[in-house]
Parts: sequence; structure tokens; C-alpha cells
Amino acid sequence: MWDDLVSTAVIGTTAQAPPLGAESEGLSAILVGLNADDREAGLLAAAGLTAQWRLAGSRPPIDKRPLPQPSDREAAPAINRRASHYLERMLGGQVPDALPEFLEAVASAGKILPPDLLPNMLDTARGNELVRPFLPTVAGRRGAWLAAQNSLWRDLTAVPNESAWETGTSADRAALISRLRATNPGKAIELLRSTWSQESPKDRSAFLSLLSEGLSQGDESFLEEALSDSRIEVRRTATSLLARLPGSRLSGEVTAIAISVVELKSRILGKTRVDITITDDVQGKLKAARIELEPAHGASAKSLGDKAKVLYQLVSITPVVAWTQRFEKSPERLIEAASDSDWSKVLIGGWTSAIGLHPHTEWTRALIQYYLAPRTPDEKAVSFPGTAIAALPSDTAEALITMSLAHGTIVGDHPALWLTSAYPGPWSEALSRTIVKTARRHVGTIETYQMTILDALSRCALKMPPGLATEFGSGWPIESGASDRTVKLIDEFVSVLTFRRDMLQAIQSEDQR
Amino acid sequence: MIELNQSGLTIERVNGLAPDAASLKAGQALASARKWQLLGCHERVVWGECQGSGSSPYQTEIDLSEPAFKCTCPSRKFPCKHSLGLLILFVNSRSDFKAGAPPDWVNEWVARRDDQASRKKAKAEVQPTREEDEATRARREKTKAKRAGEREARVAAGLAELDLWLRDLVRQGLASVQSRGPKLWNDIAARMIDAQAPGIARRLAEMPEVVASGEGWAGRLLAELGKLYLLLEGFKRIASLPDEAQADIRSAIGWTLKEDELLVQDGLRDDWVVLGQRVYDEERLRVRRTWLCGVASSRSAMVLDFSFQGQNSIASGLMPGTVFDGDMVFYPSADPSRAIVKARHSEPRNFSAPTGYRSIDELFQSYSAALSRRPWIETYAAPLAAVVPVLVQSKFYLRDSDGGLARIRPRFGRRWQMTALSGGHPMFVFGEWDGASLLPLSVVADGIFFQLEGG
Repeated sequence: MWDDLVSTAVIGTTAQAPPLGAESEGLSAILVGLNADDREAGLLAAAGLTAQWRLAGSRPPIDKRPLPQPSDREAAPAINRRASHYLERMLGGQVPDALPEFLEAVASAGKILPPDLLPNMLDTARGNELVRPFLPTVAGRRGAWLAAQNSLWRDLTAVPNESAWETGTSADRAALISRLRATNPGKAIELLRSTWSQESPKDRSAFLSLLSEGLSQGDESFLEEALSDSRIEVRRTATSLLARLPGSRLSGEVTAIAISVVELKSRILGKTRVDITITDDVQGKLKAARIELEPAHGASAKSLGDKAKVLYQLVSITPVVAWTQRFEKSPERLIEAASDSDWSKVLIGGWTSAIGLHPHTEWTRALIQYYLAPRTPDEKAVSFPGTAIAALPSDTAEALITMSLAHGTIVGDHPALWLTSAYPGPWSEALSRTIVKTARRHVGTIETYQMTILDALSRCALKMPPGLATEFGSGWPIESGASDRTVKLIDEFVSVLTFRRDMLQAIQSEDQR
Repeated sequence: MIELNQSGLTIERVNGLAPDAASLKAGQALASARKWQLLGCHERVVWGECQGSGSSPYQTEIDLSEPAFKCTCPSRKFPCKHSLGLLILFVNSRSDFKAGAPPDWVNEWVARRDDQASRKKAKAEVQPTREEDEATRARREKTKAKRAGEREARVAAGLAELDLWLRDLVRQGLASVQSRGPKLWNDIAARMIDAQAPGIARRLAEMPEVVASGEGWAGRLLAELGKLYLLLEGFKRIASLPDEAQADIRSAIGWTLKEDELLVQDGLRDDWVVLGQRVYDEERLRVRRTWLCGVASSRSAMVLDFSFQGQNSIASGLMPGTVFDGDMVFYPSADPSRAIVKARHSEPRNFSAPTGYRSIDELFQSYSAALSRRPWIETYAAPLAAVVPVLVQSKFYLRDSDGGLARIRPRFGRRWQMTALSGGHPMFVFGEWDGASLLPLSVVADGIFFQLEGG
């Protein structure tokens, strides 16, 4: 009867009189009292009464199928509400870069995340490879249970599963390779080999570049095969990876060709002179050795001629230690000799690139010292490789950063800027104090100087010991008219440190609240 | 006097007090001792001075007993970011606050508040017996009666107009309604506002949503129109109905009682659990609807607070997840629900396990019984003692131990959070029931209360 009322209402009472009956006696008894001659009133009243009647009489649907298995009781305690509050803020976009540190602290405290934040956490982890590896540990049993309910989250709480290799998306497969390279690099090669001939050129190139993680001599034969790939990008990636393996055939041949074209001659007064002989068959030798050089790019390579470019590329992948051995001279002496020659750009630029592939403490130190006081003002190291700095022993790195910070005004492409940004830390208290002291020295000077150092400082806030937050919170010479921007940058720096300090305290706290 | 460490303040509750996400974020940024020049607490008050963009610092103070806020900043948000920041800092790091005698500016505020409270109380007690000049009272009564009579007439005329409008609509048929867009409804709703029938206007303003609700919309629309028509019919013969039914019809149309008139009545004293809260905008008003439940009486109460949008002070400090001893006065109704807090006899405390319907069927039966007393119910309190959120054919439901299902409102955004909190285990859920679906506002999982900010 309800359906009849609705269809009458849809076409209108001009066309049709409303049916004033009902299935149930009780309702019929009421509807019968309506005035059938007043069609509109009859329809509206019957609709209202029937709707209320149905509403009042409705009963819930029953589902007797078994419920999904509930999640098991947690074995580990959850972090307290205070710590959760910091997590909630990071998931909401405040200080998001501190998330990995937070999760690592939760994992090492043997705790897990609270259920209410899991959906947000899982969503965030989907696009964040730095966060994802912690989830199997910190999401707890509730997290695994929840992830199983939603296809978007399904793999996040699981330890990487090799079945993803055959069925997953490109991103899933790349994630799997990355994670395997950290734990079982040989297994990654095995998977790659199993499907290599079916992969698209784009995927081959992408997967190959993931092998830089966990690279070892064991990868040589696979990489050698990739040197015959039809795709030039694949051959180039394979070349640069093989060049990073000091014992590889390719690395040996690269070194032999490189040192054969550079000659050092001693002068009478102990000064050395650099001679370069690039014979026409260097290209031939490279080809014979199946070496596919990356095209030269970067500021150092821009203004070079063709021959110089080839040499630059060659030097860039040659282990720097080959030069010190070949000429039996220290890196400082070699850099000095090169900087006097016409080939300074090629050699010093090439060596700078090379320490990115073959980190070497002495060479890195010598090059940084060179850039702190370059012979020619246009000698700039805008692309100084971060990997070389990251590979330095921490005391060496800290000593170099301390030295660079003391070196004039920190502005432009001052080495202190790329050093502080590339050195991963954790920073010592002493180094942290030094950079803060340097920053304070710059506050109150030219706006650009202040902004440059404060910007560098705020990027370091994640690497400094958070216990220094209070100390760094005061003592800034801002009373004498520092700009709003300056004060804001200082505030941001201190608040990141404070945030980290408080969140770590909250995680470790035994207090339940 | 308030024991500071026992007040029911938690981070979640403070978060729940924020007027919007931006204020909360700004407040969190200010919840750091270095942003404050003076931090103190004494008995029930907390205060601090925060350097803003002006020359003198903002003075922020909080009375924890409700909580109530005051800040000298010019913000129109309430509570402002300074108030939120101060309260978050207080909850997180009490050791930053020096206990001691409050400064003058705090004392003044506290004194003023105490004064206001006692005046309100005095007013409630004294008014009925106040001696008054006979002539003045008669004159005032006369003006009041005249104004009330004018409104009766205006409402009656407006509802007569609506009666004709509804008849026209069904005469022509509902088929054309979809193509006529929301303007059709907004125009008639505006006329009902002019006719001083805001309750009717609100029902009409919700119709475009029904029209746009997809498959089966015509049936749902007809049901709503029918109910509206019954309300008009009820008003036509209101004089023949019992007092309580009259009160319900009048309140559904949009008459509201003055709080003064209610405050003279005795309240129902009980421990009142604050179960959930929802803020929404209506016309130019911001409305906050708070649901409470009496521990001993098992009575549900709904408290409405209003403020103009963009202005501050939705003042009553009802924090979900807390309980207080107080007197509640209900608006007259055949099925009393709306109420006001007349007096508080204790500070808010955390509460333990709340009680609720043992099955979904019990909720349905209770709702049916309530409908038979008051057919105009729009939202109904639905505390469910032990239900599990389940996903059936990509729709979310709550399921009880008998397998009974209650649909969760499709636009409820925190459904995964609710699922995570349950982990597949039964838990307490409080929500608003509208006869078809439930909008969850809070849950208790593992003994902890969570607000879900239904929205």
C-alpha cells in the first residue's frame, strides 16, 4: 500500500486518487477516518500516518553469519595518551619528518601504537617508505587485524612477501626489492633474474638502480649481463654500479684507462705539473671494455670540450685511491697540482664526483678544504656528493663541519651549508652548540645571512640531541630589532627540538596517562 | 575546591573543546612553556601570559570547574588558541605551572564569575515571589500577551500558506521536484522563517538532501512531507490536545521556552554522564548539541547551546566523557528530552562504564515507544552497551550479540577509527538515531572513552 501511495504522489492527485487502505487493521482503522473527497489532504495524511506506523513498527535486520575473528590480546603495552598526542599531531602534518624517529623509539621501548590512531597511521605509511618498515612491529596485533579488513592496507603490517613480485604493482615490487636489498640482497637478484626478460625497459632501469642498496661483489655477474641490455639507460646504470665495486672487471678496466691518460711531471723546484694525453682510441678502449658512461652534467661539466667531457666522466667513476697509488702523492698534493693546470675543472670536478661512488676519508677532507679556499672564485662545489659526507667517520665529519663553520660568513654555497645538510648525524652536543653559536653570530646582520644560516639550522633540528631544547630556546640576540621572519625561524627550530624531546620522553614514560 | 589532578581533563577532551581544527593546531603550537611569561594555578583556576603581536602580552585564564575561558586577545574564536594552548600545556606538563595566589586580574575574573553565578541562582529563586508594582506587572503581562498573540496569528497564517503549498505539490505530483532544485524548498523555508516557525523551516531546509538521496528518494520525501502535514494538522486542533502534546507540537514548530521560565522549576538531581556532543550550523547560528544520561534515573537529556557564527562563547562546559552531580530541568514534553542544567553540585569527573541498550532490538522498541508519545522526534539518544562495527557488502553496521544490525550513517567519517577501537570485540557506542541510521558520537573501548566527533 505504501508503494501505491508513493506512485500516486509522484504522478499527482490530479491524475489519480490516493489509495486509503492498509495491510494492517490498526492502521486501516485510522485511515478510514480520512476524508476521501479531499484527495491532497488524504494523500498527505495517509502518507504521514503510514510512514510513522512503519517507522514505529520496524525491527532491526538480523545477520546470523559468524563474525570475523576478533583481534588477539596485545602482547606489548601501548604508548600512553601523551605520546599518542604527539603521533596524532605528526599524522596531522606537524613535524612529519620526526615520524621515523618516533616509531623507532616506540619499537625500541617495546611498545605499540594505540588502536584509534591506526587508520591514520596506515594511510600515512602507504606513501612513506621511511615509515613503512616500522609498522609490522609497532602496529601490534590490532594493526595487523585492521589492515586485513581493508585492501588498501593489506600488505602494510606484513613483513615483505615475495608473492608481491609476481602479482604486485610496480611500486609494490620496487618496495619489495628495496626491502630485500637491506636484508637478503642475493634474494633480490634471484627475483630479478626470474622475470628479467619479461620486464619493460622502464622497469629494468628502475629496478636496476635499486641495487645500489646492499651492493656487493656477488652482484657482478648479473650486472655484467645488464651491460649487454638493448636499453642505454640500463647499460649506464649497470656501468655505474659495477664501477662502484672495486674488485669488478669493469672497475679494473676503468682505472687502467683513466690512469693511462693522465701524467704528472715533477718540475725542478718540486712543483708538479699535470699532463693529459687523450688518445683517440680512449673511446675505442671504453667500447671494448663495454663501459657506458653517463652523459656529463652538472656545473663542472658544462663548459667542457668533447675530450674533456670523456675524461671528466671517466675520472668520475674511477676510484680516487687509484690516483694516490699511481702517483704516490697525497690527495692535497694532487689537488694542488691539478688546480694549477688547465685541467683543474675536469680533474677536481671528476674527483669530487668520484668520492660519491667511492667514499674516501682523506680525499673528502682534502676536497672540502680545497672548496673552503678555492684558487679561483668560480670553483664551486654545488654538487658535492652527500654519500661521501655520510660515509665519513663521525669524528672526522664533525671536525670538518666545525672547521667550515668557523670559515667566514655562511652564505651562498658555503661548504658548511652542504656539509650540515648532508651529514646525517646524530649530531654531538658539541657540534650542535657550535652551529647554534654560529647562527647567533649571524642574527642581527644582513637579512640574507640570517635566513641562510637559520634555514640550515632548522634542517638540522631533527639530527640534534633533543635534550638541548631548553638551552637553545634562550640566548638569541633578538631583542635589538630582529625581523619577524628571523624570530619565526628560531621559534620553529626550537619547537622542533622541544617537540622531539617531549615526544621521546612520553614514549619512554611509564606513566599511563 | 577542585583537586587539579582529579578534574576529568585529558588531551582528548581539550581537543574536543576546540572550535575548529585550525584553532586546535594553533593551540598545540602555543602549548609550550617558552611561549608563556607567567604560568600559575590555584584551586580551580589556571592562568598565563602569552606574548602576541601586540605590545602587551595576552592574559589568559581558565576556570577548570566547567571549564570556562577568558583571554584578552581579540580572537572571535572560542575558546581561542591561547586558551587551548594554556589548557593543553596544563594537562601535559603541570610542573611548568607555579601554584600560588592568583594575580589581581585573575581574582577579578573569578569574583565576577562567582557573582554572576549567585545572581543567576538568586534570580531563579526570587523571581516568582518578587514584590512588584501591581500596575507595572499588569502592563508587562499585557504587552507579553499581545506579542504572543501576534506570533500565534503569524504562525497560523504561515502554516495555512504551507498547507496550500503542500497540497499544490502533491496535486502536481513529486515527479518534477528533482528538476526544480533546492530553491523550491529554500523559498518556502524562508517564508516559514518570516512566519516565525523556524522548526518547520528547518524541516523544509533538509528536504533537498532527501531529494538528492538517490534510489527510493520519492518514498522518503513523501514520508517527510506526510509527517510535516501531520504537524500542521496537529497545530490546527492543538487546543483539544493534552498539555504535553501541545508543548511538543509548539516546540516542533519553533516556539522555545525562555530559560527563566524553566529555571523556576525543580530540577532532577542525578549524576549526569556527558555521552556525546555535536556541533552544527543552522541558519546563522552555531548549535552545539550535548547528550547526557542520568546514572540513577537512566533519563536521557539533550542540551542545546547556541552562538552566532563567528562569535564566541558557547559557554556551557559539558565535556564528553565526564560525569557531574547536578540538577537538570526538562522542557515540557510527552517524552521529555531537551533540558537545561540548572545547577551543578560537583566538578566534572571521569566516569566508568556507562549503561546502554543490551540489543539493537531494544533500541528499536524504545524508539517506537517514544514515537508513540512524541511523533516529531528528529534525533534519538542511542547508547548501545555492547556492539561490534561490521562491514557488510561495503556498508558499515553495528551488530549486537543476537546478530541485530543498525546501519551507521554513510557520511560518518570515522568508521575505520571506530573499527580499530573495537578490534572486532563488543564495545559501548553512543550515537544519534534517526530511525534509519546511527551517527556515532563516542565509544568506550577497553575502559577508555573516545569522542568520535560525528559531524
